[in-house]
Amino acid sequence: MVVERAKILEKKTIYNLEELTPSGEQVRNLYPDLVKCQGCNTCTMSCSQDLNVIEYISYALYGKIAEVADKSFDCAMCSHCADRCPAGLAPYNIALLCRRLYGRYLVPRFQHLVSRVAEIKEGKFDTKLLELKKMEESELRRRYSERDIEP
Amino acid sequence: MYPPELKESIARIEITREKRLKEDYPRLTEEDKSALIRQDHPNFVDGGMREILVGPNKGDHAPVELAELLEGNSPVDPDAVDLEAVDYNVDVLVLGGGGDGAAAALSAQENGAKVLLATKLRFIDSDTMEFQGGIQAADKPNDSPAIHYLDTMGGGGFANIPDLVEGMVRDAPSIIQWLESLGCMFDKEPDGTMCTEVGEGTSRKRVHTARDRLGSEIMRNLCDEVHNRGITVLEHSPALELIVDDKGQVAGAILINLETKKEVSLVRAKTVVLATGGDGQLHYQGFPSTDHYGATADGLVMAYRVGADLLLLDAVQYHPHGVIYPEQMIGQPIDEKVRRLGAKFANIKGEQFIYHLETHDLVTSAIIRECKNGYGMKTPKGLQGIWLDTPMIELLRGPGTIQRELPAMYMELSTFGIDITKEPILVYPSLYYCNGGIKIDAQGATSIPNLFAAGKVCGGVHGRHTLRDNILLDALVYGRRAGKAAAHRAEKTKLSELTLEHVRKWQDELKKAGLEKRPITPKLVPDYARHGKLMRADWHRRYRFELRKEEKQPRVQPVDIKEIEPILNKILDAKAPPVARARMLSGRGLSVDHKLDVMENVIGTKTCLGCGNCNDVCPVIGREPGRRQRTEERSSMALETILVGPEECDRCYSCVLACPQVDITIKQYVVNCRVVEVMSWLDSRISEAKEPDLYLFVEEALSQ
Repeated sequence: MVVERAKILEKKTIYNLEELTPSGEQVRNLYPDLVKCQGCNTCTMSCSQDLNVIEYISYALYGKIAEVADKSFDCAMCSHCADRCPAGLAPYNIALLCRRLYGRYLVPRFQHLVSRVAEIKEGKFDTKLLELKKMEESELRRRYSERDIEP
Repeated sequence: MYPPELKESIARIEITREKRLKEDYPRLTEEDKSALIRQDHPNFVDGGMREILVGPNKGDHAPVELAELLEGNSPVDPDAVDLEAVDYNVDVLVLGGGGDGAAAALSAQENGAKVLLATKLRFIDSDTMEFQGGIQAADKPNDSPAIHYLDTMGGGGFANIPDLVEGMVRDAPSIIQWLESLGCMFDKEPDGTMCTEVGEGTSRKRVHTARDRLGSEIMRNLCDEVHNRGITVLEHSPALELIVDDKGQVAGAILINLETKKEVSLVRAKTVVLATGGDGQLHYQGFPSTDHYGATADGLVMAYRVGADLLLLDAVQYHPHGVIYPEQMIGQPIDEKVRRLGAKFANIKGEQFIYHLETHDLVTSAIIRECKNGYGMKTPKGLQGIWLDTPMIELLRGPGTIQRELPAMYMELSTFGIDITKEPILVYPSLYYCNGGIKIDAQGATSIPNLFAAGKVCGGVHGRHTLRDNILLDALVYGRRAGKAAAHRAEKTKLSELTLEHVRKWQDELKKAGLEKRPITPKLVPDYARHGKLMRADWHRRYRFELRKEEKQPRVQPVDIKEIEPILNKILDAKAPPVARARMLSGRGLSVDHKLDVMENVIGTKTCLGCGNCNDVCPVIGREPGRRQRTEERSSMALETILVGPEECDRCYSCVLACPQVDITIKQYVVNCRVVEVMSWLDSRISEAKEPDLYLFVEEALSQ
């Protein structure tokens, strides 16, 4: 038998992103350990990506989700910060939650994407694609070399 | 920092930089192009490819290293495996923990299946995580899936399978929408419009990015979602062989625990999705690879053995400029953008040898030709490379351009003391993508019932040449499609008795073809040295035919004392400190497996391995190397180093952290300094197990 528990789960809260609200309170509720941060800066010193971990953790404490998302973007999820934290925090998981909340709720959605997905579902491009699929290779080659390229 | 000989070469390059800046090197003519590729492209080199001798693709050409693995022996002895002892019983088994595997697991679960995901390394360690490019999707008003289709076909030399390309371009916008809803931070305008760029071979601005870490942004989110949905994930558990049932349907897999390398688990699954990734770590013809550590073609081997068709195995793609110095970064690709921004190549004489914006294959061939002709720069390790003159970008476009446009590359190289705004980069072609793989249909199904595949392990979507920004798209689209199809298929499937009949048949076939001497595959772990001389990863050879019986054997191999007596006596008589004696032992080919009495006699304690890690990390010794001998004499274990020499010790506990034999809880305890919490636990443990060392250590730590 093999070990089932992935390491990341040791300090991770399970949540359903669809049911969350993008607020600092939400983050603190999911990761109550956050308030225990002693500010010892061990996390920053151990970061393999040279991130300023303590900085984004303090942003998380104050509920500034956008800032956390921005500052923690280069995180490689190596878990060094969580392994060394004397207060038992998992900064990398907190940052991941903030980034997901930010990407899901705080940034406006791309509107044209919705209409494009609907168009594809309706079959607007079906005939064009079918035509291209059935095309002889020589004709395809001609079209490919003559296609207009956006500057 | 470049070593002096490379610095000298850079000085010569600097002299001709002005000249190269102004020089217009002529483009190649059509004839020259085909001649160059025929002569110097690795895919056309004699001895690089050979015919496969056995199996469904008998007669097809494949790289020699891959063909050898495909013809390999199975690690599983069908007679020794007890197929009744099932450890996991699930609907869909996903093998592979990259973007494709995660997408398949999620979509299978959405469609009502009970999913198990097993991966060789940590779930998140994958090519997806390292991917720095973008993802294509025709979602802008001036774009359409049809244009995307044409671009992809043209890029792949029209060898793509039309159905697969259609599926990919059709699903692309919905994949972006799905990623958006998972919280991926794509680069966007303030109003939500995607910022898109031109990519390799695209005729529209279609490439979506997330700064320069799109791959890790996607992988982190998918990984988190998989955990949130409660999907069981088995880490460090690669599959050794697929299992079929007596109707010939795939019905599960045998997994091995990579940490202990002994225990096997049997998974019974109604359908299996292979998402095991590529084969770059096989290092065809000794080339470095851009691929991640796990890419050893395991999925191809397993699928081939159950009889799945493969295709286009000879279409190997090379990245023209991977890093060749510093050694830690060998193989890592330098982004295409470098050339678009104006960096040109220079050989050892400081001359250009090819127009810098030619296609991948041409640049690859030209660099190889230069090195073959002796115009390449030698690195201290004896490898050859060509200078990619990045400082030209700053001269052309003004200072600060590199830091703005290529922040990740600048950062990574600067950690090795190389400032790419002032110094060029030494590059050499690197294995980039295997365009070949398992043949699938538009729903991700292979030619074997109940076996699905997605991602790099498949072939045909990209034809003979993949466009960089389609790689991730392909993985996600077919990951989701295969997951969905696998879940639906699982609903309708009733499995009968499990067998390993296909393994027997395969071994017979090998015997008939006279190929019993082939290696045992899947390979699982790549060779450590690029030329295979240092440490060959062959531990799994030992486990052949012993999988289930293994548990009954003692863990330590018995040693015939008579055989090793002369060596032992020599070592025992040597007046050397214990750590040194242990090293002599391992130098004679004796290892941890042989510890028995040898350990006690030679080193003096039962637990020390004599690895010397404690001495290597000790800062006291680091400051005064003269103290090394004294420490070696008495340190048979990290703990003793601390306890015996208090007057010299700094109490940094580095040795405890480095010691492979000290209990993991103590390490945690040292790191966290949680005296009270751990004390009671330790106390009970000490009284039970009578571990005096532990006790001493705790007392010592507390008295401070």
